[in-house]
Amino acid sequence: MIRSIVKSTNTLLKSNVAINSNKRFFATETGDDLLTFSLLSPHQTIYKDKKAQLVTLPGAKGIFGVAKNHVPRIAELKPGVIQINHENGDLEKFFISGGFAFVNPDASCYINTIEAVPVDQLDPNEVKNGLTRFTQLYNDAQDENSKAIALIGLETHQQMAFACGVSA
Amino acid sequence: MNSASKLFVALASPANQRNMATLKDLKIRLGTVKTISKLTKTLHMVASSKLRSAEKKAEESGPFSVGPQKILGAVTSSDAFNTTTEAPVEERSGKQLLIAITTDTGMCGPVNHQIIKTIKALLKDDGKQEILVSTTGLKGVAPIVADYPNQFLISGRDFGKADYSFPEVLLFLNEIISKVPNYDSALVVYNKFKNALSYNVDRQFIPGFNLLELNRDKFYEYMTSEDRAATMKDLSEFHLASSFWTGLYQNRASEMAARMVAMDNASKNGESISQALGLQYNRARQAMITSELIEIVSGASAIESSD
Amino acid sequence: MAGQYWRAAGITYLQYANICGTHVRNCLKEPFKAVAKNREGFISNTVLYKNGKEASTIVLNAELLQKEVLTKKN
Repeated sequence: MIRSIVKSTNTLLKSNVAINSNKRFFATETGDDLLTFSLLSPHQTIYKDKKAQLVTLPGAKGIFGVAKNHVPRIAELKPGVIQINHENGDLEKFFISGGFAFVNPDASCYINTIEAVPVDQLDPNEVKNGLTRFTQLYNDAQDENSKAIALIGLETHQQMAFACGVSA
Repeated sequence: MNSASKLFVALASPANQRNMATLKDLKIRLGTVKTISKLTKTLHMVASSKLRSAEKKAEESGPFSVGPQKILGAVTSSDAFNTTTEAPVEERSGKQLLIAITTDTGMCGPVNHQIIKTIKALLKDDGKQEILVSTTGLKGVAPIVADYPNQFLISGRDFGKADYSFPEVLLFLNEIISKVPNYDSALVVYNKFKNALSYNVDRQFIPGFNLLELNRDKFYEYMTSEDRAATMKDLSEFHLASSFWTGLYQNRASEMAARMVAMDNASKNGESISQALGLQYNRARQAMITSELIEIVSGASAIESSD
Repeated sequence: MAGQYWRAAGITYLQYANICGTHVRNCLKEPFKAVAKNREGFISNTVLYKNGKEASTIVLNAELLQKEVLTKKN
């Protein structure tokens, strides 16, 4: 079974060709090479049983991709960007605050998020201010607890900054 | 005395005055019942539209618990700690969190009663007092606290009043799990909505982290690229939140359906009382007319015979 | 994620997830921010019981959410 899970970050975006060539080895009943996934937040079902070529997700150890495959997986997601390579070739990006991704033996894929927003809905000014604020809070923190809270803010804002093009 | 004044005396007799009073009372009562009927009809319409919107929300929120449930549902209440000799990863609390979804206000049929009945049955069988109860609404508090005062943790008031909100859910659930770290398992108890006339109690079993680890062979085929134990611990909490979330909307739809039935019954009762009163009023009116006629006729014949 | 720093500080996943979500909502452009802030519009009371009696009450609202992104709850 060929694992279509890729861990690198920038190389992934450039290596769609590499992934597609792996997909030649997946035999399907329907003959399509498409992943079926659902992207859910508590207040909104963004996509349900939607077909796509590839979905890349922000995992704990970096970005990984999920294409049509049967490798079951449980992944905890960190704050970061979900990128969807749609059936028609369109690219769509959401920033998520975190959540989980599940790939089941029946190839169904559920992505549960808490907040999922189109990347262009992030406000670069707010992100920049937040980044400054939590960097300061982290540096000033005296005890383990304050450092932890500040670090959550810092990491989240760092990821948002990366997503909407704000330089740290 | 002339015949005209005899007529007026007859009409003003005490018997007739009594009848007039009864008629007036009846008329007032009829008016009140008709107003109440209008009110319940309006409330029914409101309840009906609230039900439609609650049904829609229940349907939309359903998929949110599917992902975790599909996988973690493999561990059930029968996969308890006593089925294995392996030691738990973290120190056990020996507690099960029972989170019951009840409402703040009544007039919603069997919705709260069913839940309370279920909780009481579970508590009755819980000799070791491992169950700790929390409720989202006021109605679930008094009946449980009365009999099991040491097993009641937390209750929400005005929880999700306008609409449910996930940040609020996370705050609420965190209050519960902070009190009982390393809970063995949780049980979400709610009314599952089938249709406007059918909603029964469902219990969603949520295994705690220890239980998940002891049963990790059930998930052996699922790989993770990160620290598996840490992921499963986080997931066990998320699983609780996602199942609770969908349970809230199921229960609300059930609540709205029950309120609509209550309004419906009140309306129908109002209708039938209104009809009965209407009949009574007409009969009373006819009886009064008849007795007036009798008095007039007998008065007239008395006048005739005395002329 | 062995011993994530926030677990070690006594923060649960539910708290962690809530804090991250609040950060994202705080950084939205209008009008999306207003829509997201509706999700923070709740006000409810969480009553803690001890031995069958009301012991303390915590108000759940947007203020509490914003507070939790800055300081650890004890």
